[in-house]
Amino acid sequence: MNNWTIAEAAQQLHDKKISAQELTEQYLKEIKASDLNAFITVDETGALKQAEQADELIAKQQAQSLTGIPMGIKDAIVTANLQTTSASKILEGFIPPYNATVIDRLRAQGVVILGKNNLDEFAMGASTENSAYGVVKNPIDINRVPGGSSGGSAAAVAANLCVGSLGSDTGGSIRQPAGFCGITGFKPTYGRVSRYGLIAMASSLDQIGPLAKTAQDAKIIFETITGHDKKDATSSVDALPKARSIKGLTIGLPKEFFDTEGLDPRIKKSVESSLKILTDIGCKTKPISLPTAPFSLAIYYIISPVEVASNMGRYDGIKYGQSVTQNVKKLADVYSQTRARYLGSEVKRRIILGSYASSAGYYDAYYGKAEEARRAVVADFNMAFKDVDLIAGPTSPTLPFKIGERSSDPLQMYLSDIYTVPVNIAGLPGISIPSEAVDQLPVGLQLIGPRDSDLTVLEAAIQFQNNSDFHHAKY
Amino acid sequence: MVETNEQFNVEKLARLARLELSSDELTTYGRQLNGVLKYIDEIANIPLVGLSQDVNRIAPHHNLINITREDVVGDDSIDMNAMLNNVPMTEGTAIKVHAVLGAGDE
Repeated sequence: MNNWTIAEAAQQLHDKKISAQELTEQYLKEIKASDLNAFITVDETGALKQAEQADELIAKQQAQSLTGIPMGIKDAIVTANLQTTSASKILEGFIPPYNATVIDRLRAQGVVILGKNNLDEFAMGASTENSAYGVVKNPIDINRVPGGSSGGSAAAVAANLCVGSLGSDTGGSIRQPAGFCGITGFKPTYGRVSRYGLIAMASSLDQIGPLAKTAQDAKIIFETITGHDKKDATSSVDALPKARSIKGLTIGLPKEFFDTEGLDPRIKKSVESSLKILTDIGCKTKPISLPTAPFSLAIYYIISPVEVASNMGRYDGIKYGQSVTQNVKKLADVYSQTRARYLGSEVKRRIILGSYASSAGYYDAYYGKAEEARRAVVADFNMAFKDVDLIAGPTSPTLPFKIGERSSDPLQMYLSDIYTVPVNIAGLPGISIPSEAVDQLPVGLQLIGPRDSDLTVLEAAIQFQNNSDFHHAKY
Repeated sequence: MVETNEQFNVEKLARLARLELSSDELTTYGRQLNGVLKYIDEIANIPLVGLSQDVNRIAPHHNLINITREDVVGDDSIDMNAMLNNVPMTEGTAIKVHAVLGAGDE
């Protein structure tokens, strides 16, 4: 089985060494043979039809960078006429009557959608153990989690069950699983990719982004899906600035990202040696401080559950999804019993937490305070970016943990996101790229840029990968 | 016996959120969330001095402003029948629901 990047596959298709249909058949075969559980739904018929259309475009010399490329899509993104569940029982059998904007943009280029990747239910989790459709295994070590919530996407890319995937990131859900699976995952600036058709988790934090084998691949996917969308009121309207050259860029190293108690010292060492690669290619580093960083998780676990509680209100058994319709006396019972029966534990916990933090008498102390604190986080980053051009650190404080290790203590699970969450709070672009492995397990290096510096962040990642080999590591 | 403190009443919150939880769930979630609560209570200690004045009050993490649009039907409306396909209980083209008030309610 080939292990091509997007550009390599596109070249093979262009040179007629393989057809899009043959390539798709190869990937469908790999998926069938895999027991990682990275896909909830596989669309064999649809994918082969799309591949046929791609072959027509290639024959007419109308191929673009993603034509005929087989991809996975996180099952939190709606695909018309193809079951979309968000890994919840409550949406089992739900057939969306429309495409997310990002799907339309991929399909306009002739991307082949192989199927829907598994995730933590409604994108809530850091291990993909919260899926109602079974745990996803990390292809590097099948006793370990692939991370979450985009664990299915990350596992699928790492195991070459698709060339790339779209995930979503609210507190780290693209970057952390990318780090855990040894691949590249990019979360754009808030507003740079349309959220129309992304099943909402926390609307002020969610962003769709690529998971891919390389930063170059991530860039190709990002450039295809980015752009203003009038169907998303939070979509950026101005043009994306071009990438800056990375020569002479200063990279800030927050002491709060390197001196944390829970940070595995082996990860710190791996990240520090990767930083040497960046200085070798012309960057400078500088110690900085983000004083609000230690409070980011508290801010996140107030803001996001409140928004979650609001967004989950639509799952009421009335307009779509599963419903308890028998043996109920009144409408409110339909709501309460449907939600009780078909929503998972982590979703329920966050609904309760969010209801509490936004309830009368507690709203100001929790949500009001968290929103004020959010301004402080943005101000911190603004201050830092006066002195430095990018910020770097580990993606995760720990190596990929064993399946079951953290699933009974929600707080332990939440701590996985300690370095990724500030980036969503501030709406900034962030990428996780593979650093040097530790004890045969992958380590993620995170790069963060100022708002709208997406192409610079990607360029820095690309240059890092041009001068290192960790993204090619065999585990 | 559900572990609650005066302010954090899981049973009441579940009712507000329209979640009919079992007593086992109430106990387990109560216990798990009490740990999370201690963590988020840290928000009271965050240093908020010296906030930059150029940070947007409403939504600090982006530079968008709220807009209004004309309330007209667009040309990209979703097909009604495609939507009705997903509705659990229908009558004709209507979504059918149970009575708001059950027997015995005033």
